[in-house]
Amino acid sequence: MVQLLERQVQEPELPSLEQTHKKTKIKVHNIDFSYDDKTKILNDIQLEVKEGEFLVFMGPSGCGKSTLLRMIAGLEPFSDGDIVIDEKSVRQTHPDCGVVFQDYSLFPWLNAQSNVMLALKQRNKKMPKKELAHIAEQYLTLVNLGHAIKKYPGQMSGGMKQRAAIARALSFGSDLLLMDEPFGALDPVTRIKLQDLIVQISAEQKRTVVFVTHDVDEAIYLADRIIIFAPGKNGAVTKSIEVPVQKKGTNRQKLFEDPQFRAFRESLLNEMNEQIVNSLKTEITDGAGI
Amino acid sequence: MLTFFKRYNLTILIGIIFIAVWAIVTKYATWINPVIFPQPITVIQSFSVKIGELLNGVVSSMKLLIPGFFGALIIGVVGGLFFGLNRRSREVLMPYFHALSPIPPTLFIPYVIAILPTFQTASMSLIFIGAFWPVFLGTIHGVLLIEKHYLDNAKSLGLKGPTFLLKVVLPASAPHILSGASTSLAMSFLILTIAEMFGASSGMGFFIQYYSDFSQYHYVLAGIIFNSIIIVTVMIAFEKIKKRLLFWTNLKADSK
Ligand SMILES: Nc1ncnc2c1ncn2[C@@H]1O[C@H](COP(=O)(O)OP(=O)(O)O)[C@@H](O)[C@H]1O
Ligand SMILES: [Mg+2]
Repeated sequence: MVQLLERQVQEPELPSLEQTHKKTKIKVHNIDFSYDDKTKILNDIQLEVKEGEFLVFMGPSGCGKSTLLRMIAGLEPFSDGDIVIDEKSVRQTHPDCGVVFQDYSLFPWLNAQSNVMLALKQRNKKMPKKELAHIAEQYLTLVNLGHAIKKYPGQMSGGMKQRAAIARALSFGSDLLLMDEPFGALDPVTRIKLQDLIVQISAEQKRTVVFVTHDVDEAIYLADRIIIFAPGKNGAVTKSIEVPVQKKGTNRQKLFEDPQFRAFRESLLNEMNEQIVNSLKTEITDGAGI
Repeated sequence: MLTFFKRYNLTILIGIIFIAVWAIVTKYATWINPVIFPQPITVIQSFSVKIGELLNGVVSSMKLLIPGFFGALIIGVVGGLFFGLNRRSREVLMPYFHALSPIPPTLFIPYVIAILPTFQTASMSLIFIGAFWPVFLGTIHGVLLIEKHYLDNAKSLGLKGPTFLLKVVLPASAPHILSGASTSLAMSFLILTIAEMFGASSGMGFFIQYYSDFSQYHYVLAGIIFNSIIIVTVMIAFEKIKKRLLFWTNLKADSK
């Protein structure tokens, strides 16, 4: 049972150059998307995520980050372009991934343990209930919820709920974790704790993570690579930026004092502002052109 | 206990005053017909005389109510889940459901009694019809109103078939199912007592009708009070069960 939990420990951070030799986990081809054919949400998105990579989608609210994540998760049907995960199109095969949403990942009528057991059961159909309960407890302990396994979501704080949701996503056993602003509704202290937890987990366990946030610091702290979403006339466009800062094993305080880190943070903020200003400009010239 | 009396002292006082007024008026007011308005003491005596008959009446009524109500509950929930989850079937049949559900089932009483062989089967069917619609429509609404997040989670966990139904759809729509069921239960009692006044030879409604025919209104009053207590108790018990099942809608976050 323990081996279910103890996944292979990853070698310390591989530099981005070597990452290009790794296998492709997700490939997003020519994705154009709109909900109602009027407002275009995504404009010709191309994306490739390597196995084991921690990718962060960042950008202002309403620019389509969640939409793309939901498409990758197989929750949003689409017609243009394709998304391929593990060499299978999400159109044909429902992708194998664990998902954590901002607020609503757990079923409120099940306690933390039963929520996790539901995910475990999907992978271990024949496993006796007792064993499922035991493994569920181990996963909850991993996210420091060992004391609260019998609590219902309604009895838990925001931070506890997100921990339980992470435990459930991990227990589902997919190599791919998709997280949509999982810490967006948390207070700053809890948020930092959970960021550290997720950094630790993604370093220990060999998983690919796609993580959505609109917080620049969160993005830099977590990401190997950041995809910046910028709103545009024909839907959002994306730009990929490698995070040059060596972070794994560095403590948070030191990292935020590191000049390289600060310079990168500065340039990232500029980048985002520039894109927003540009998109505003196009809107204005559009309006003037009428 | 003391806080109970403190909190409800006015409520209790009003009850006592009501009974006192009843006792005084029926005893001293000469303009009141003592047959139609018996004294409280007479009514209480009637209980002790007729308690066996009253209890038998409850048993006999339950034999009609339980199959009718639970039949409606099971078929209503199963049918509601089916139509809630199958858009095409729902679109085709929903106009009929909307047209049929508001018809008062009491309208069918004489006809159903005519076509079914026994009074028992006729009453059960009528209770079934009356109890069916609220829980059936409640279930359909419950399924349609399931939050998208729950369905997203179910889908991303790959939940299907019985697990999907039992762990997601049923609990998520339970609030609407149970509020439909509580209307169904009230409806069942209504139809039961009406049906029993038509053709029963025992039962809660029968008791009242029978002694009215003999103008023995102290028995009638005793019957009304006794049966009301039974019905209110059942309804309260049902609300308790409902609250228990829906405990998760009413939880408060406690400490970390
Ligand atoms: N189900 C939906 N139907 C129609 N429009 C939607 C739906 N979901 C999101 N949108 C719209 O799509 C745009 C992108 O939304 P979203 O992907 O949630 O952005 P983000 O996650 O970056 O904040 C927004 O303008 C939003 O209003
Ligand atoms: Mg979003």
